[in-house]
Amino acid sequence: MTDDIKKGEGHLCYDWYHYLWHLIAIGALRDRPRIPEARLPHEAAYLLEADAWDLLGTDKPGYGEVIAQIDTGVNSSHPNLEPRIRDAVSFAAHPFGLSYVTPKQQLPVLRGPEKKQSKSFVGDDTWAWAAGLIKSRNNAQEVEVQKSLLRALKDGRGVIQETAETSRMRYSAHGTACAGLMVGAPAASPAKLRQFSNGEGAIPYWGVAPGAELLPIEISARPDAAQLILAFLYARDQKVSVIHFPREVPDPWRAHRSYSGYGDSRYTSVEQAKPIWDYFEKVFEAISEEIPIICAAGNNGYDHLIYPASKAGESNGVVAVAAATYLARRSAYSNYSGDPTDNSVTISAPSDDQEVCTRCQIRLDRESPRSRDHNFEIYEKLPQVEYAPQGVLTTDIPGHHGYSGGQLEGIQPPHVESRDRAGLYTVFGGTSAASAIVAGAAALLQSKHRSTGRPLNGLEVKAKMTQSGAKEVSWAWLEKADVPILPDSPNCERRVPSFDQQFGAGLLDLRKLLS
Amino acid sequence: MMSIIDLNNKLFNARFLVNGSDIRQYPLILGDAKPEKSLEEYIKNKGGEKLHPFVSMMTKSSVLSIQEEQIVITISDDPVDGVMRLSPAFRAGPSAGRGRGRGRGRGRGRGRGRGQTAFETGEEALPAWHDKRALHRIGLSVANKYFGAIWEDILIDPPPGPSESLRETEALIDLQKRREGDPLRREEIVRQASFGILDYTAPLGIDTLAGFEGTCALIVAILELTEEIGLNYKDRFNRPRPNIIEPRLRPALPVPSHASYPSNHSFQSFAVANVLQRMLPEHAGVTALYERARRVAENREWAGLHYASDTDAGEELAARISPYLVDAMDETIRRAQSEW
Repeated sequence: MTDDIKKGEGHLCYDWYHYLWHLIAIGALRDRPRIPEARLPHEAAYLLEADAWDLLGTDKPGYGEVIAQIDTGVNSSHPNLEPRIRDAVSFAAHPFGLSYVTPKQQLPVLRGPEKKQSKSFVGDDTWAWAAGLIKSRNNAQEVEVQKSLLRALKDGRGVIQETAETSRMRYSAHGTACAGLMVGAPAASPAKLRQFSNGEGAIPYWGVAPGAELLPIEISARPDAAQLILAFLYARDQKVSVIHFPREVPDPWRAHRSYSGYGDSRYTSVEQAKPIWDYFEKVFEAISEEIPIICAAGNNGYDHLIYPASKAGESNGVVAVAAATYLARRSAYSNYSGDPTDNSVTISAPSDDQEVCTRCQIRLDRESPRSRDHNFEIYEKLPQVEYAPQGVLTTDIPGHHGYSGGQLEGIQPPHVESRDRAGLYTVFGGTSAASAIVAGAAALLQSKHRSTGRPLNGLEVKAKMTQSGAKEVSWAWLEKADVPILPDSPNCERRVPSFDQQFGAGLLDLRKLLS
Repeated sequence: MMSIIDLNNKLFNARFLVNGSDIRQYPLILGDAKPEKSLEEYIKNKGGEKLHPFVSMMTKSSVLSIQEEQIVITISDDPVDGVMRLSPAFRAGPSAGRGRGRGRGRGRGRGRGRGQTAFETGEEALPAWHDKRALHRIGLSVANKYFGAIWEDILIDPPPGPSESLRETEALIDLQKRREGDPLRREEIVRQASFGILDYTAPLGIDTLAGFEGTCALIVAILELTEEIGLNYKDRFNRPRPNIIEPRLRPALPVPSHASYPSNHSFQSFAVANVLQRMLPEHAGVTALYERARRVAENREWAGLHYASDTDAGEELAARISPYLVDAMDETIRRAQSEW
């Protein structure tokens, strides 16, 4: 017996890959031209310079733009994020909103009860606009339900909270990971950057729009349309440039394609709940026409998109983002449209992959020791798709919390927020990651147009997006240039779904978008 | 305003690589002047080598330094934390793979049963099938270990794709509604959660087991063997339970921690039917055994625990595995047969 380590045999022989590959893939950065005789393995050879970013002619691409993130909230202390995260508002923790204010200095005593806001989080202009969306020609009872909800939300007063930080700072890993992909940027000056030791402190990390700001708006998974209505109205009221919404809305009548609400619950009461969900949809679409809303297609592998990304096929400013892998295939979980006439996928962006073992497709991680647990070769006749182990690197909650616990897990006391590098970053993925990349790109587009006139509305951003996809990619890590991005049949379709059904306009090409 | 040249100066420092959840900087060995040469040198020296563990030296609460190619030394005033240790979590690096929020990944459930105080048969019996399989593989060649035994590699169809799974839950929602108005069915579902031997002997016309001890032992043996075999296939396909993808399903029974496909209740019940009809081909009741097995299996759909395709896969696997079961249980079957 030899203990030779071979690839593809379950030996954890993963390749090293560049930590900013997703920025290279969308054309934000490129590999510097190198000396011809220095032929190096691609994974180590990158010396980067700005590509599409230099079209903006600034050191801070996206400067002046604000992305509203309607998600879990963000850890605003991360060294790659810190100066660009605005004060967060939560509609998950209070029916009329809770504003987190980071105290300037830690006081030794509790501050007592929450401070009540003197006015609504949403301004009068937006309340008047929202009231105009209720059409009185509809069923009178529905209109009354919608009007009374809006009255209650408008009259309600939220609070300011500056005591408890754990929930926001330690359990917002999803939002923090998305935030890094959008607005991450190096913390230190160029001279300082060269001194980083190999295990500690922040690395020079960039999001797609490293100059932009992020406004975290927290929502929960509670099936409650009111908190979502308030969250979107707040984003509109703040006049943000882009809204990132990587979530499914649990509307009992729309979240599943197949059938209407089920069960006897106030959550699903046709008289009380349905008019409010209907109204949410109206607000959502109306806002999208003003401000682009970037949604994730969903991570189920279904032949339909999650709601409300599924609305992107219609005329509005909703952009639904699908995911593609390091190897330029559809990410296994990325939802797509099963109907060739419905173009609900708008565009695609890089992300990670997932293993599949169904009668429709075999896509397995051959480097994982687990791949030797079972003899999967008996399924060699089923369609095989190559699995990509690479994900996208992004920011994580520092220290133990978040997706990565860090190298010092089990050694360091849990109360210490360490600068342990392994705890500061995580490999992330899903259509959330892909949609965050597109949301960053939308912010760049807005800053380009703002500098020459006015930012675009949602419909215009979506129109630009649909012209900015690549159907072929020339990535240095692939074996050849002009590799076509191929659709697959994850649900045993006899006719392979079209490119458009799975990737929309194609893989985001920042040069096309910004030129 | 800074210029694009400043940005490119900063990008010069973007010299990091990722592998799993490990991040490393590749150094400019020959200085900043000739980065390409440095990289070439670095690859030449490091290529193919295994990684060195990252290490740390820490005092009470702050990390002083972490460097490559050192041994871990932790210094602390805390007597517990002060012990020099290299925990598995430390060696393996940070936990990876959760970075999607996409539910449970492959390979969960290994080592389940940990923390179990007693081994119990029936609903929540989770034998350490993986460890038993490893025990049987000791001494086999690497190839034989990988290919596994015939009974592990029966070529049943893998589970349907995600969209079809979601469509299958529609029927389960309907069953759930019907279940609410059917107390007798509910009672039956709860009773069948654990395998009752009488469920299998009743179709053969015996409601008391006196004089049929060998048959009883055979049925128990089939259930035990097939439970482990079934867990092996469940681990292979790792299909999420229906209530994971359709939260409106409210299973009538506790949802087991192992995967959904194929249904073990279906597989085990049909396996009993298959072996008994082999043993007693002339018995008038053997067809009824299949009907009983189907009833047991479909009740798991009524309970919201299995898709219809799980049931069908269990039925198919039972049929295809029966020759091997008979081969393995020859002695036991003969002893049972002599009672008829």
